Amino acid sequence: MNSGIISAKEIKSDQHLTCEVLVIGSGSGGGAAAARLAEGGMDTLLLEEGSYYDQSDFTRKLTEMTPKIYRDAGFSLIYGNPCIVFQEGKCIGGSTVMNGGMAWHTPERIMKVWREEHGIAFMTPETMRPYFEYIDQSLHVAQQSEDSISHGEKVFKRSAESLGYEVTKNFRSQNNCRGSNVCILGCPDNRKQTVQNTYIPRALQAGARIYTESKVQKILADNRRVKGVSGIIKNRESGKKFKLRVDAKIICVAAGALQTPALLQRSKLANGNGRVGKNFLCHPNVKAVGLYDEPMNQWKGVHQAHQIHHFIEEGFIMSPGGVPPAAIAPGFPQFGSEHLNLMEQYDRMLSTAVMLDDTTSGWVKALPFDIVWPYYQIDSVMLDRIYKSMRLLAGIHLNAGARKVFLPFAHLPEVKNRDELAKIGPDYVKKGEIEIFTVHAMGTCAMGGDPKRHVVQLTGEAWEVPGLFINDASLLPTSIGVNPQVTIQALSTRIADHILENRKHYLDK
Amino acid sequence: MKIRFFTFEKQTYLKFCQVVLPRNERLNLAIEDEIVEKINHMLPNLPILIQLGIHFALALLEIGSLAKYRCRFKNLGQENSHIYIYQWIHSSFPLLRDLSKILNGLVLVHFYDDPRVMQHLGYSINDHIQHVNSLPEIKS
Repeated sequence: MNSGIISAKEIKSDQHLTCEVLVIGSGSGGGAAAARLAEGGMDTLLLEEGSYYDQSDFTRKLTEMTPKIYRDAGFSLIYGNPCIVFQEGKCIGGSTVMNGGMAWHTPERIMKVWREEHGIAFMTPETMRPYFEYIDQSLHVAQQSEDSISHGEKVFKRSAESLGYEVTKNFRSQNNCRGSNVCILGCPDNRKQTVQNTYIPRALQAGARIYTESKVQKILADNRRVKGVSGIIKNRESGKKFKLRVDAKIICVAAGALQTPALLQRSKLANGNGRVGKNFLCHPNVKAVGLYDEPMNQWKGVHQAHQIHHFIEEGFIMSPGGVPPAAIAPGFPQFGSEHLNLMEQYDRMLSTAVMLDDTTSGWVKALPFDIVWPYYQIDSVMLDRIYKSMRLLAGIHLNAGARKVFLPFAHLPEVKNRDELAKIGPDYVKKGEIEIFTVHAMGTCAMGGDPKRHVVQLTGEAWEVPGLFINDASLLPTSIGVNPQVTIQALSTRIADHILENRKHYLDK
Repeated sequence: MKIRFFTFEKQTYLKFCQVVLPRNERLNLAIEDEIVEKINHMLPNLPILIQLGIHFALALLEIGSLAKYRCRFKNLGQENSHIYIYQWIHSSFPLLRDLSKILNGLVLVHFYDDPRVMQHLGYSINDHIQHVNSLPEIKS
């Protein structure tokens, strides 16, 4: 256990704490804010619902790690037709502990939309550059060395380039990553630069206090001004629970785009315009697995070294993404001996995916019994993008020499040649029969200049509740089409700077 | 809600596991009991609606078997149980397909996470990590 982090095991009674600024959630947004605020000299308290794990806890076994570091053991669902499997972290470091570490700046075309359609005037490349540079430095953002890239990924890259697609080297939060390829189970080498091994040590060093297994149930307010939170601290092993109360004049909510709106809804705060939980965006993903005659050894290289941004204007990016056998296995419809016969060729498989920009939005609702209900229905534009992107992705595999390509469609599970690519369309693939997953949730407390349309003003403070800040992906008013961790951290850091600059104003009230 | 399996549910899942468990002449591990126990242990970590779905699916497996074969699922013969599960997994009825996907998915995740199976597949991740960590540092 990292000294300075207080776990539920150490708690023996109800807790009543005070601080200047309370940060709820220790993922991308919360971690970045906590470090900045603590280093700025504020008395900072951070509450995290999950536990603390470090590299010595990362066993590389999926069934051991997912119940520890994932919410719902990785089986969260977004409801709709089809349902979408959603995975996010629930531990110190949040989703950065189990993500692929991709670290892209907010695209300029997205900044333009935010300025012009949402009134976020500061979202210019010039204004954001110092923040992006700070994040890049904090996370040690870099591209992969050639020797860390698997043979399979190189084959895929060559094939895409031979078809005329521009393949871009990924920017990743990593320090000398050598391609262990267990990113999704927690980096065993500490080479992936997560919030847990970057911002959290800094926050602790600057005097922040961190409580784990601490769930905030309600934000408390007086005359619509925040005064603290109530919740519970629960020991996961013994099941023992203690009440938690924190008094704070400034609260930064960074619980993620599903839990943050649910917390606001339960607290009946900031929702006068009915927009809390609306505008739910999630970058739906669909995957395709190529089966080759030669070994691809995808697991002997980094999880994802490249992305194909060639079609980004058309609303999707493509990428390889190596995962352990236990993660890839449930995607195949076979069972019994057929399944094992197939999986025995794991070494010759190349796993890839498409990430789609959102063309529609869903909503998130807090229900009784602590249930959070996200709903998202893909629309016809997105469906067409799925067809097109999967034809292209499968085409790259076939061009690279794949014997067959496994698809995420119930009644079109594979294609074996280019002629069959034409089947990927409405005649063979119905909307409800597509397997979709995602790891990005965004947009549910959108930032913007219009109090009627947006939940949060440009400072990150809720339009309706002074002292209440949102510091996570909920802020994003639109989908950004690239991995969002840098955008989240840049916005959250900027919000923390606003708090530091106006500290007296908030604390004196 | 944190309800683990009742005994009859365990029996049903065990039978399901026997049918879907990946095995061939090169690898034939009889680890159904172990897997069902691990799934039972993992159950409270799953979302409430998936937990409910699993309990419902196990009940439905029994009801369907009684209706179709006039026999409890756990007592179904090898051929019939294989056909029965195949029909669930490839059903045009989304609910059956999704429920079987959950039941099957949990079995597969636990099966392929077993060190013996990983070794059989040639997935020696610990050796790989040891190897990459022994390489000299190269700046990215």
